[in-house]
Amino acid sequence: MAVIIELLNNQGKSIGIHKFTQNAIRIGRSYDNDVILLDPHSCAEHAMLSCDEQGQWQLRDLDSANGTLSSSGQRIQQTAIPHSGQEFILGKQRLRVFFAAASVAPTRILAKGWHSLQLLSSVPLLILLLLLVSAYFSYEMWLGAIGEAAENWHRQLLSIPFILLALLLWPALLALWARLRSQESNFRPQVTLILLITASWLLWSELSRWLSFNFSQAVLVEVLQLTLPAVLLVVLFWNGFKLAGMQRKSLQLVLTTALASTYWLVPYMQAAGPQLMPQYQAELLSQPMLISTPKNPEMFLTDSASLFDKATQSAKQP
Amino acid sequence: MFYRRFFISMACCFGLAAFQVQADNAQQVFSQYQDALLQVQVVEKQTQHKTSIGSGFYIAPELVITNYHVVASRVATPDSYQLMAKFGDDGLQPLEILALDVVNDLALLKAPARVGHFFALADALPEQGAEVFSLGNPHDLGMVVVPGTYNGMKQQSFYPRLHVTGSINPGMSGGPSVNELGQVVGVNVSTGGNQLGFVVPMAQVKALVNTQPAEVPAVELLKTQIGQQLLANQQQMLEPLLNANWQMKALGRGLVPESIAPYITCWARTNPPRVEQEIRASAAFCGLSEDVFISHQFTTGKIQMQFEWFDGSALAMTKFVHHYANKLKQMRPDNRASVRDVGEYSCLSDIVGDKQVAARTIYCVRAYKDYPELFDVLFLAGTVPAEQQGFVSHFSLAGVSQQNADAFTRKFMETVKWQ
Repeated sequence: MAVIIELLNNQGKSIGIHKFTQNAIRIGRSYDNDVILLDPHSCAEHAMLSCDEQGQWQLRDLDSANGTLSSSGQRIQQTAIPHSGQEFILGKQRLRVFFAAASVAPTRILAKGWHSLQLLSSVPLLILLLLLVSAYFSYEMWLGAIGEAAENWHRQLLSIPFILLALLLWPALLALWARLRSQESNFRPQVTLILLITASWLLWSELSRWLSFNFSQAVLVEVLQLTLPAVLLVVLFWNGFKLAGMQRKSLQLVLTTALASTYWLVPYMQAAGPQLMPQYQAELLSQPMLISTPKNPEMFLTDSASLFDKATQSAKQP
Repeated sequence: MFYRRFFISMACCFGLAAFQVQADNAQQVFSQYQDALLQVQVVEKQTQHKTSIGSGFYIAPELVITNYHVVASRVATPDSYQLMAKFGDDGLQPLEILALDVVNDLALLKAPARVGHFFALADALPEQGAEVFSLGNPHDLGMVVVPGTYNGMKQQSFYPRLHVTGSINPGMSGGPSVNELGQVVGVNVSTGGNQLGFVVPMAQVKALVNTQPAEVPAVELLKTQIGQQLLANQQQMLEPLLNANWQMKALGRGLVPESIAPYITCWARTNPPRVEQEIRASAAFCGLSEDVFISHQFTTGKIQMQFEWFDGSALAMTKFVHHYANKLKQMRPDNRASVRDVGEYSCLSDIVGDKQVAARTIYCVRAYKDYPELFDVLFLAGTVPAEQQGFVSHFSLAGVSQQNADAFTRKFMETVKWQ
């Protein structure tokens, strides 16, 4: 009967599998062994696995210096292995013994939409996004520099790599998490994903300013401003977890919702008490950007009548 | 050299002589009226400790005059505070509020009956340059008399105030200022720093005494009266502004007021150019800086206008617009208020004007909780820039009616504009 020896690392993850059909298998550090160990705490001839006439496998320690231990930590001289999957420690090397009849874990089904995420592995897309996001940050820095700062604004460009590095923290975290669970890390697609979302976010912020400038009173604009960034966050977190190989849909849904809802929760938490400062729309762009017709002053004053009712209502609240 | 010393010595002699006469008068005034002075204490009910002090004086056996701001805590939170009178080293005796004049910062109190001298109210204002004596209890150090000089009515003031050169210090609020005959010419109210004292004139005190009710009114009724006084005051303050023909002048390409009313003063400033890549700004301000004290957290009655002209010709258009737009994002109310006094601001914001000159226009309103029909309003307009130039105009009114707020906004929008 064939026997399988699986070598494990300290975390219990498999680092090598050997299958044998002979009746005696020698384990140790020397090169004439059947299973060659790398662990310096194991002996040259450390242990022997053999099958007796009844077909019963036995593990025997060959008087090794650090001994052979059972999974519960007891030192053993010789022991029978009745069950498949029993673990032993030779020196510091962990190993597990299986018989060929042992069953394997069921096949994992690839997540739906997996192939569409393959686009995120594209290197040209990654480079394009990196350039786009860096260009936007540079523009912001140039825009912000005025007076004496305007002469040396390019010195601030040095901070862009650090901003980008900070952006990579989330993909790194997800990749590490996937790695620990023996999943594919998908670091590059994760990076592309967060850059794609960042670029969309920045694009939307520009568009949103233009919309606010032109359509101050439009409810649709307000709804979009409230929902679109949250949708972008949902896309980021949902696909991030998918790339990290999260299997449970319910967990993926809960985590995505929780993380994306911070977009509303943070302002909600900050606005705990009544506000003494006025909150108003103050977006202003240059005249060529104005496509809507300015309001007649008379109409503006007519509209303002409702303010006094609203203010009176607000003052009535305790 | 010799002559100079001689004159200084002579001047000193005359000065000493004058001081001697002054001291005699002061002594006389003080000894005669000491009994009619008292310290007004606001006492916290739970701990029975005083939280603030002021002065007061008897004008009749049971009537005491002091400042409204001395007793304001009692009106704002009647459940937490009570008013007490302290005479010399004697114990405390309760005081009650009979009537208030919040605009002129006066209070008429019902006090324990007292016999002896009372302060008489003068019939006329003193001559300019005449000697006056301010009495009170500065910093809780005991009753003092401070000699000073009457320097006429405070100029450019909306509220009538006597200007007295003499040390009026905290704690003397509510005490009387008297002439040489010991007659009250006014009530100490505030100080403008070094030897600059302000006193509420007698006429306002007499008007308050005339409103004296038969019995002590409830605090709610006092609040209603305060509301009515504030409403009447804002009407008096704004009506001349709304009817006046505003004198305008140019600020960059903006048109801003130069003179509106005697009590609205205007200033201007400009920042000198330092470097090439910057926005040059010139600003003008107009306003009434005096306010009406309602409580320690709440003042009202301010009028402020601010105009700014921005020129960023050396900057790229996008850069100019970015920084210019940021100027609009920080607008603050000019008066002090807490969440207990006012509701939240409601704001309206839109692009107003025509295709040639449009402006981001913002109008914000908040209502007073205890005084219905009164509002704080803020207005802000920033022109939509076609070139690297912009004009921002702003005003804030504290404690005005809806009708006056609208009328003022209309007048402001019509007169303050881009030319």
